[in-house]
Amino acid sequence: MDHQETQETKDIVNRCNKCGLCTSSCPVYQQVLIEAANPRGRIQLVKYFLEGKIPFSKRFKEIILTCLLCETCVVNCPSGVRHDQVFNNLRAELVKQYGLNWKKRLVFQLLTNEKLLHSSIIFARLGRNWLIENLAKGMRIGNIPAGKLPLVNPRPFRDQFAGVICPDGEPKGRIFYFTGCFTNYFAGNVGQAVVNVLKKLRLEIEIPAAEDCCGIAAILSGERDLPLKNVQQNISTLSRARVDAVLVDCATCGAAFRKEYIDLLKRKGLDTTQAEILKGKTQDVMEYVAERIDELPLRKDYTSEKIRVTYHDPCHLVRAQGVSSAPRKILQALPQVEYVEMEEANACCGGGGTFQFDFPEVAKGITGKKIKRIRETGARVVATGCPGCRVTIGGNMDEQDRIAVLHPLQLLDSALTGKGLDKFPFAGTGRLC
Amino acid sequence: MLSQVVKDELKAIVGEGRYFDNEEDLLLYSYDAFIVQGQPEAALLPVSTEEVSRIMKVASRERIPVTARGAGTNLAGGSVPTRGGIVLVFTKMNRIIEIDKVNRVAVFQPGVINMEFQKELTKRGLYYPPDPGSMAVSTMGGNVAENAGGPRAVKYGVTSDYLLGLEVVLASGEVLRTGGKTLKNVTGYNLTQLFCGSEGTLGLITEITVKLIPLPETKRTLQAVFKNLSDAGRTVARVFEIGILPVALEIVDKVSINVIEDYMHLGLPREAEALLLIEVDGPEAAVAGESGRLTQLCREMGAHEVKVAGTVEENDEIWKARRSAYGAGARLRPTAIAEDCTVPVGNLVAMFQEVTRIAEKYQLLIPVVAHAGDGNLHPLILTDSSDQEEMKRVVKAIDEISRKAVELGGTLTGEHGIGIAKREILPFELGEVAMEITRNIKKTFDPLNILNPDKVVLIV
Repeated sequence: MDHQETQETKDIVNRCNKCGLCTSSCPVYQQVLIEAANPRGRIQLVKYFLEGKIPFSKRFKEIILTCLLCETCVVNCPSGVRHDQVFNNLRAELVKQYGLNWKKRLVFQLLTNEKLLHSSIIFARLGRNWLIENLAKGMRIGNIPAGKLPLVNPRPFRDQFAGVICPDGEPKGRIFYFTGCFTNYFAGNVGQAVVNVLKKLRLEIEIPAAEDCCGIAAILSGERDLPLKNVQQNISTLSRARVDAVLVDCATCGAAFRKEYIDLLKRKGLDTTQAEILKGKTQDVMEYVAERIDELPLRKDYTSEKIRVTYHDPCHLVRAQGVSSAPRKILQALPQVEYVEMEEANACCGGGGTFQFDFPEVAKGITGKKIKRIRETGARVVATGCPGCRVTIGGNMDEQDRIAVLHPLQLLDSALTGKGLDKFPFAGTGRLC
Repeated sequence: MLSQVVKDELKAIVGEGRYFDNEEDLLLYSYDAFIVQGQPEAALLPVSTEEVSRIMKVASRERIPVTARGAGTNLAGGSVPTRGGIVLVFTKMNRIIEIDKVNRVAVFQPGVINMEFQKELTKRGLYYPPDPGSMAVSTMGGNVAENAGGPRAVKYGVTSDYLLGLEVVLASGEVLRTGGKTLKNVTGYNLTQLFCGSEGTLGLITEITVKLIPLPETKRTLQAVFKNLSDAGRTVARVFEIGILPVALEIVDKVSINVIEDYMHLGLPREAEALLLIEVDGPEAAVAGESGRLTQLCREMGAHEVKVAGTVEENDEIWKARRSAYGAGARLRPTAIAEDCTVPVGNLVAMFQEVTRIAEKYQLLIPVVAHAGDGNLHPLILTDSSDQEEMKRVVKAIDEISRKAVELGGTLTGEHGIGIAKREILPFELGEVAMEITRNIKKTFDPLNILNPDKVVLIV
C-alpha cells in the first residue's frame, strides 16, 4: 500500500474498540462462528499486519477475502469503523502483490473492453445456450447448477435501440437509462419492463451508446487500474447536463456511480467534479418510479386472486445507497400483488459477487437461510433490484418451489399491460429474469 | 509451552476446523472488549460436554491454563488468556435443547446468543428479561458466567434471578449437574448460583436451565428532560413511592447529551442536565394508566418537557439517544472504557457528582449513562490507550470512581465483572475475611489454578 492508503487503513482500524457488536450482523460469521470470520477479528488482524506482527500469509489472505462486502458490519458499528474500506485496500494490495487469478483477470479484461465483450457474448450465446441445454446440465458453478444460470439475450438489449426512445404522449422530461451489462446481455426482459414503465411516465429515454461496464466487479476485487478507463468514460458520458436523471436498474451499477467512482478517483488523485455531478443525478429506477407511482395508469381490472410477493433487499441498494422503501412502495401499490415482508429481508443473499464461487461452502449456508426466509412467506414471487441477487437466489431455488425471481418493475409492467403472472417463468427453469 | 504431542492430542479431540494453533487465529483469540491482551497457544471450539470434559482431563494432567470464551464482549478482560494455554471457544456449542412451555423453562447450550434465544421465545409468547447491552451478540454461557444484567433489571432482575440449573465441567474433567427444572429447590448448597458470576474461574458451563415468564402484552417509554440532575434523581425515588415498578429507568447526563447530539443531531436539549427515560410494560390499560401518572409526576418534579411514545416507532426513537451513547462517545477518542460502579439508588445523584468532580480533577472526558433505577452507573472514559501519560490519569480516575462507589455504600461492578480490570481493588470492597473464603472456594474447585487463572482473585 502507498503511504496514503496505509495511513487511511491505520486510521480506520484504530477506531475499532473491539466491542464486538458487529459479530452477530456478519452473515459469514453466523455460518462459521469463528473469530476469523468476525468483522472485528479481520480488523484486528489488519492492525497486526500493519504493525508488522504478521506477514501477508496464506491464512491472512483467506481471512480477508472471506467477506461478502455486504457492509452490514459498517451499519452496525457504533464507532463508525468503515470495514469495507479496509478490506478493499487489502484486496488492492493483494492484487498488487500477487495479481488476480487468470479467470478473474480474463473476465475483468472482457468487462473493461466493451467491443470485445459485445462480440464475445454474441458468440457465447449460441455456444452457452446450446452447451448448457444439452451437455452441461449436471454441472455446477459454485452452488448453482449450470442449467439455472441465466440465458444470454437473443440480441444485446441495447442493440434494439438507437437514439432516443419516445414516450407515450407529450414528453415530461428526459432521462438516461444505464442498462448495465446484465440487462444488456442477459435480462433483456427487465430492460423492456423498465422502458415500458418509463414510457408510460412520459419520459424521453436515452440509452447512451457509449456505455461501458460500470467496473465495480473489478474494483471490489482489488483491481483499481484496469477499470479506470471505463469509469472515466461513463462519468464523461453520463454527467452531461441535458438529462434530468441517470437511472439504473442494477443495485451494483448504482452503488458504483454514487459511491465507488468518487472513492476511486480520489485515490488516484484525479478530479471528482464530474463524478459528483453523476452521483447527484443517479437514482435507482425504483426510487424514481416510486416517487411518481400515482402518475401511472395501473390496471384495476384484475379479477383473479392476488399474487403473494416478497422483496429481498440487495446489499448494494439497502446499505450502499440507503434504498429500501421505494421498492416496497411500488409493490404495495400494485393491484394484483399481496405484499408480504420476509424476515431479515435486508440480510445478504450470500452471492457477494464472486464470493459464492470462491467460498461455495460458506455461501451455501447463507443463501440457504435466505431461501428459507422466502419460502416461509409463501410468496409466489420474490422481487429484488439486483441481478446478482436474482442469479444467486434463483440458482439456489428448487424448481418445485414454483417461485419466480423478478425485478419489481417487471411486476409493475405487468400491472400496466395486464400481462398475467403465469407468463413469468419460475426459478430453476434457466430463465430467471 | 504446549508440546506437539499435547497439541496433537487436543486436536484429535475436536478435529480439523475446530482446532487452531496458527499465529493468525491465535491472535484473533487474544482479546475481548477490554484493553488488555494475551495470546493463547491453542484455540479449541468444542461442540459437546464430552469434548469439554476430555479437553479438561488433558489440561489438568498437563496443568495447562484454560480460558473460556463466548462472543468475546467482556468489558473487564475476563475472556483474555493472559497466561497463554488453551482458549475454549463456546460459539459452536449453540443448540437450544428445549423450550418447555408447560414447566416454563428452557434448556440450552452455552453458545446460544441471547438475542437469538429471545427471538425463539417471542414466537411462543414467552420472555427471558435479562438484556445486557451486548445481547445481540453475547452468548448465554457468558451471560451466566458474568451474571449479566441490563436496563430491565429494575423490574425483572438479572441473570441469576432466572437461573435454575447448570451442567458444569470441572477442572478435573468431571461433570457436575446442579439444580434442575423446578422453581423451588433448597436441596443442599446452592451450587448453581455459585457458578453464576464466577467468570470462568470455577468451572466450564456446558448446559443452562432458566425459568421463563409470559411475554408482557405491551410496553411504553416516556422521556423527561430535567434542567437539574438532582430533580431527575429525586424523580427516580418518587417513581417507586407512588407505587410504580418500571421495566427500566435510565438517566443520560449532560456530557452524554452533548456527545450524542454532536453525532446524531436528534434535537436533544443541550442545556439540560439529565434525560430521564422510563419504560413501563404490562396489559394495555395498566400501561396507559402508569404512563399518565408518570408524566404528571415528572412535571411535578420539575421536568420542563415530557414525551410519551405513542407507537413502537416512537418508542424506538426515544431509546435511540440512550442506545447511541456508547457509539457517540467511542467515535470521539480511540479508546473507550465502560465503567460499571453501582450505588444504592438514594446515592445516585451523589455518585454522578463524584464522577463529574473526578473527570475535572483528572482532565478527562467522561460522559455518564446510568441504569438509574438500580443505581448502576456507566461512566464512559474516553481516552487513547497509546497515550501513556493520559492512561496514568485514567487508571487513577477509575480507581477513585470505584472507591467512591464503595464508600457510598455501593459496589465496584454492577454487571461487567471483576476480570482483570478490578482484581487489584477487589479486597478494598470484600475485606480480608471474604477474600480468604473466596480464595478457598477457588482452591476447592480448581486446586491446580488452571481455570481462567489471574482473573477475579489472584492465587499466589
